[in-house]
Amino acid sequence: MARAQPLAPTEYEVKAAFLYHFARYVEWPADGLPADEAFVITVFGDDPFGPALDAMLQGKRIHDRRLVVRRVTQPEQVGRTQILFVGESQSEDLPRILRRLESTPVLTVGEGPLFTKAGGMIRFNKERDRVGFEINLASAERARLRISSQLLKLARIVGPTSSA
Amino acid sequence: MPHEGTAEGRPRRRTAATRVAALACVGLAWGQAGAFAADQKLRDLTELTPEQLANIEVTSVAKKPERRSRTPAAVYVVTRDHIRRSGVTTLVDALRLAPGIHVARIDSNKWAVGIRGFASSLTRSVLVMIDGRTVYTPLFAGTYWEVQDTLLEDVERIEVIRGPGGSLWGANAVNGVINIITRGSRDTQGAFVKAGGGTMEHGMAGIRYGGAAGQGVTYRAYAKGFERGAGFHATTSDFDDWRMARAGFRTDWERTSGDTVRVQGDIYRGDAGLRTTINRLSPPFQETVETDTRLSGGNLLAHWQHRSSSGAEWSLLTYYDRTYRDEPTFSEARNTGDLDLQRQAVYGRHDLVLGLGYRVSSGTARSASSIVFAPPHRTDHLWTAFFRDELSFAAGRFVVALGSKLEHNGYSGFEVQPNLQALWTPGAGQSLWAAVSRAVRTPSRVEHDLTITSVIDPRTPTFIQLTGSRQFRPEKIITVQVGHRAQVGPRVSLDTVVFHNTHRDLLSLEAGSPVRESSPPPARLVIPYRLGNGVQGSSYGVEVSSDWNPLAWWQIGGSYSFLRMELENRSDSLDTSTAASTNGSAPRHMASILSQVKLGSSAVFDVVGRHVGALPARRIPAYTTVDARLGWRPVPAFELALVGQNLLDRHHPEFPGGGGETVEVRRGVYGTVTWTP
Repeated sequence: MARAQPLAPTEYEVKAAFLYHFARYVEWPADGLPADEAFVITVFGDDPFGPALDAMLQGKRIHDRRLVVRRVTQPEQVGRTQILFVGESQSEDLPRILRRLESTPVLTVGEGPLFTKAGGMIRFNKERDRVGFEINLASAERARLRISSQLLKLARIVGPTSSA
Repeated sequence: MPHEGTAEGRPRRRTAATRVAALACVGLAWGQAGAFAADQKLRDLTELTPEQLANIEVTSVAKKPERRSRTPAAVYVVTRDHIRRSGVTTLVDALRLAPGIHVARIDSNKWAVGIRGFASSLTRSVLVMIDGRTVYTPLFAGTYWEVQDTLLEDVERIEVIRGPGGSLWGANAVNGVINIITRGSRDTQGAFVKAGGGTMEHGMAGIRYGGAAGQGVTYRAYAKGFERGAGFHATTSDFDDWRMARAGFRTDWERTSGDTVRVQGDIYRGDAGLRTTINRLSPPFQETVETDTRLSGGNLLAHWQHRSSSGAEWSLLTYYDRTYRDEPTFSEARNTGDLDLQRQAVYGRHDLVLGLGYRVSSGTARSASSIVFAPPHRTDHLWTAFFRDELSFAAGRFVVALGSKLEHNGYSGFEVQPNLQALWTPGAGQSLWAAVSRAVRTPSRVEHDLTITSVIDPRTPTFIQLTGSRQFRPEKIITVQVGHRAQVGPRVSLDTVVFHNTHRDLLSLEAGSPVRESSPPPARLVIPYRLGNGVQGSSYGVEVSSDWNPLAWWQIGGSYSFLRMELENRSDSLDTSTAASTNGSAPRHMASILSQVKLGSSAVFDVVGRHVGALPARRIPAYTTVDARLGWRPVPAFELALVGQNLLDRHHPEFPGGGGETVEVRRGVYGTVTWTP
């Protein structure tokens, strides 16, 4: 089928939808997901998603909570959040951010070749024009996050590395 | 400062407004479009399962990968699925469904192709690339379509970019770029065998095998051949039959996800029937011969992509390409070497691409008496540098890109081709873009080095002699375009572009005073013509394409293009025909419609209808025709297909020029068997 451009989803529309499924298929410990609070996805620095996050995740409920997308530019501003996305352009800040979050139940999702090596949990990669991801299971376990087999079966599992 | 925003509380507007906006845009109501900007329903991908998401293709355009719907240019992508299901048998015929491109058959093995007008057998001013290799020949600044081929099943997509792409794609991307991209060898594993034949397609066969060598190395090799029949001839004999054989390979090595190497190559050989006139200075002055053009060539390409630890993407591409063609009136052997280096990196809100390139192309022409290249041998060096800086604002909703290409060539020296683009994405399913570009079509060898002599009256005798000129300057274009893309509800997408071109210094033929010549005898009158830059003017148009999925098993695509050419002579030009002939060789209206239907789980039925307006300067009437294909897969490994081409009439003309008369395109029927164990 010859397609005009708009029918094909963009890479970041697909990644935005994956963020939703990460929220769905990961279990947070009780202290990582307080009752009566929104479920927060925080984007650190440049937002590569364009309007996709707001448009697609808006109005959704996740783990029986309202889903909120928040954007911050400084590591210090990463407050209470369930998912933190760190784009590839923010690689320099990555070690600082991960140190701050160490052992707190925050699912870190990012891009760039070094993301999981530095201790990030889920790294998007694009192979053969399809969006995939790899999971650093050791980092997730340290943060007491349980990742469902729905995600694990699609992911490349990468070995334990220190988060320091 | 933190810029926080929650997903809630953004205003929602009616999708009906968006539909109105989309229609208003077609009516050139550009100023209104933004006002209707609404975050109408984007396809909600969260409804897909993680498995389905992981299987979505998110391919990208351009030298720098870009998000598809966000390209600030008039891009149309012909996909692999379309190529297969439309039943086309050549790369050039696969371009027919894209809006704004005029593909016309001159005879069985020659085409005239133009983007936004300017169709001619030389397909000038359109840059054509296959996997990054430029197949545009510097001999005459055009593309020999009859030698551009590969196993069509291995083509991933063809990107047709209308308008100047100068700042990223190089000189001569004036009217457009055609970017043919083949599949990775990892996607073409296993065996593939196809054979078929029919009334026009006398016989065709293709075979491919793909395998893996471990350590991330995959490969494929293919071979194909065909024999095609002649078109319809009212008076002349069937000279334009055609045979080609071709083989090639591709190897991809994914060392790591950030480090990949690809090596590929092809060789080909063939005979394409030709009827041509040889002119001589001695009686009988003119002789028409029917023979074959002998064609052969090959290429080898290597591409290395590397992502450094800092996140910068490096790309190094190099290739060697050889072509040889032998016609009765001239022959040329050409060797080309090319090296391109490119770096892309993101710095805050800047996305910066830098590129450097060098190409050396060396051609040796053998001349007959009437077509003389002087000097017979020429080596051209082309140096290129480009940059493009893309700035994102408001979380990527607003993007401005500034780029330019600087090149140095042996014909016109330094050329600057700047490009300014802006893209606004007010809502997830809609974007609005605008671009202003300047591009040049640099002189080619025919314009500097060629002399053509032909008799116009053998009784007197009187000749005309067309001589290239070192004073011939580049042709220039300034294009202003505005485009709109919308997802109108979940099932319809609409892409609209309005453009205006200002053309300057287009090629003209300037007649001089007749001179008497007596050596060698007999004495004759010669009317000299020189190449000049005496044509200018403007052209403008609208292009609309749309996709509609009314039902899960039925997809419809359509496009419409309107074009108006207003070229004229500069006051000091003596040319009396070029402007009128170019204006009258572009169809004012073109339309196509495609329907793809799934019949149960094992069969597909596809129909393509096309209408192309008249070419008054070429005395070609408008035509409407239909191609249809029925594909049936009785078992998964076998597919049988029956294809009918140009079904609405026995034959129709599309473009003149086939050896003294207009050869017409015939109705054709063929069948194929495909085996993929």
